[in-house]
Amino acid sequence: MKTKQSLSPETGPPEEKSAKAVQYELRLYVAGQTPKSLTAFANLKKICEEHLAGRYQIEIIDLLKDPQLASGDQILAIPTLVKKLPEPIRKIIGDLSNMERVLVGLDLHKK
Amino acid sequence: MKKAIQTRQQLEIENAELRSRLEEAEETLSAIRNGEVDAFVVTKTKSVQTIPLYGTDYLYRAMVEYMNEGAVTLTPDGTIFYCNPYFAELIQTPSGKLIGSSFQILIKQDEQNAFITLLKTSSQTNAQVEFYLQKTTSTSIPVQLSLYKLETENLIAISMIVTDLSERKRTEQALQQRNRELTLLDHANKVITSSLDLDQILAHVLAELYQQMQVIGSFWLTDFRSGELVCRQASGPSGKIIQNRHLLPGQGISGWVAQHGESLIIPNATLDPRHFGEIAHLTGEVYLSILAVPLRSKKNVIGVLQVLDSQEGRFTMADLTIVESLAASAAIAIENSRLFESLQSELKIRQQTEQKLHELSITDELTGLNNRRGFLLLAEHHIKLMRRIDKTILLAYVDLDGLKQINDTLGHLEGDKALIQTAFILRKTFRESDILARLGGDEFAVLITINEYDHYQLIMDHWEKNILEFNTLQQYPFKLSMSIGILSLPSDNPFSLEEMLNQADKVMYEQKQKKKGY
Repeated sequence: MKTKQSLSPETGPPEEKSAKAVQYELRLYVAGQTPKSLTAFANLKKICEEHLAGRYQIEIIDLLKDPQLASGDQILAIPTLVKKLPEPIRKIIGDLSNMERVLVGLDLHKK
Repeated sequence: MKKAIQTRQQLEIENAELRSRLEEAEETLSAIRNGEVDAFVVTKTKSVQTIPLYGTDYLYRAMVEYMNEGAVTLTPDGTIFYCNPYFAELIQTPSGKLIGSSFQILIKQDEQNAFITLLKTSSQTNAQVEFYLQKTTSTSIPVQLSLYKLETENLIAISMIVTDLSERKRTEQALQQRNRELTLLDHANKVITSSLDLDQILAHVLAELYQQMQVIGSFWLTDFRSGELVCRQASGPSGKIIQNRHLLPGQGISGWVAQHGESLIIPNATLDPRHFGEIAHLTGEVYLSILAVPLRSKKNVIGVLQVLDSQEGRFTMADLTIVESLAASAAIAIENSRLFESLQSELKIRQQTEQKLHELSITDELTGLNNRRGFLLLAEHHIKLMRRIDKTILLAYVDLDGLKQINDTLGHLEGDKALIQTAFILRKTFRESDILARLGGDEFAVLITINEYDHYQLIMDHWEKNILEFNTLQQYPFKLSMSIGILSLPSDNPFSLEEMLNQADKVMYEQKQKKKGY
């Protein structure tokens, strides 16, 4: 049984001028309420609100409760953020404090 | 050539995949080096485990360290593995000395075995049990222990929350005490308002005091004439002995309280110079603690309620408050009872006076017979009765002959005696059920009840005989003679009493004239 929480914004700003509205599906793997997990979640929310407002969905998976769920995305370290959509699938490991790295990983900034 | 191109393409894909995995691995290593991860997923044959790193639970540890309850981790045999600062402070021992020692030695000796049993039987589910922790050699703290057994592959431990119940126990005791006080007041007030019998009320109040506070007491009431205090009611084994005893003004603790109008709490009466040992000597009992409060009515002290206990220092300010409330209610009851008693007494006097006045108003003072007014009242009533049962009405109008002559020749004193003796003869002749009256002057009337067994003539003969007897005895310087007019009427006659009297009077007059020879 999956243990997950899904978050979607209720409203969002207008589409960005340069692209059509692409829906992001993000999955954050955590290990209970560890400090890094909490920090990762807080940072992810902030980034999504700033750059993906109205077009993102966050799924939280607690691997402390259901470790088997790690195999789907081949998770090794926690916390890990997985961008499921848009493809390609990307993984970002850590508490997401390095915003530049996160934006690159989400293809929102060029390297 | 084609095969070579395909192989090259495949190799490129594989290379790209490898590069991606390498990048991921480098990223992971980098994240680890930077301290950005705090847990790993480990796959062992068929099982997957998530293992958090040490220090990742510091939020929980901080919560446990700073919370306002004791937290202790024990090994299965009860050795303290960890305790938080709150617990160390609660037990007043540094945590350094606690860690490694047995928890059970902190528990009150007579409860230690119960704790050991609890350790052995506690399971994964929460067990919550109350114990007493030994704070010092003489004090202990009531606590609730909530135990939870943690079992993992490598570790068995018992985690325990220690909740200090001291405040709760104090509140519970205070509530119980308050409950007792309210019950005492409620019961006492019910008794006080349900009766006017003072002794009953005071005895009940003392009984309630004993029931709720396990103390004996006595009510001393002020005798306003002498200023002394008199024991009206007392409880306890010697209650009967001290009841009705007197204390001189100002004598003893109660006397002092009555004089000064102030409550007193005496922790040891034997050390107080005001204590009057005589009563104690009388009863042979020693009561060290005394609580005495004045009974007040409209600012006056009307007595004292005294409460005793054999234990030294028994009474507190809280006890004083409750006894003062009781005294206030009792004082009202005493005043009400006294008022009722005096009202009762006044009512009795008034009734007696009214009775007397009533008698005087319908009685002839000289002869003691009914006067005219009385006769009319009684006769009216009697005639109505006669009419209802259809009996003959027999009315006699009597005139004492020669009264004027007796007055003129022998004096009015002898004249009065003649009237008195006439009344005496009438009483002798007729029954109590007959209505006799002196109508005024020398005139009398008799309403005779007559039934089928009576004979009119026999009555007349009896009457004459009595007159003759009087005259024969010659005890007085005069002789009596009466002129009698008898009227016999059926019960349904249409005449009023006045008309009947007039008729009878006429008949009497005729007889009188006959005697004179007219």
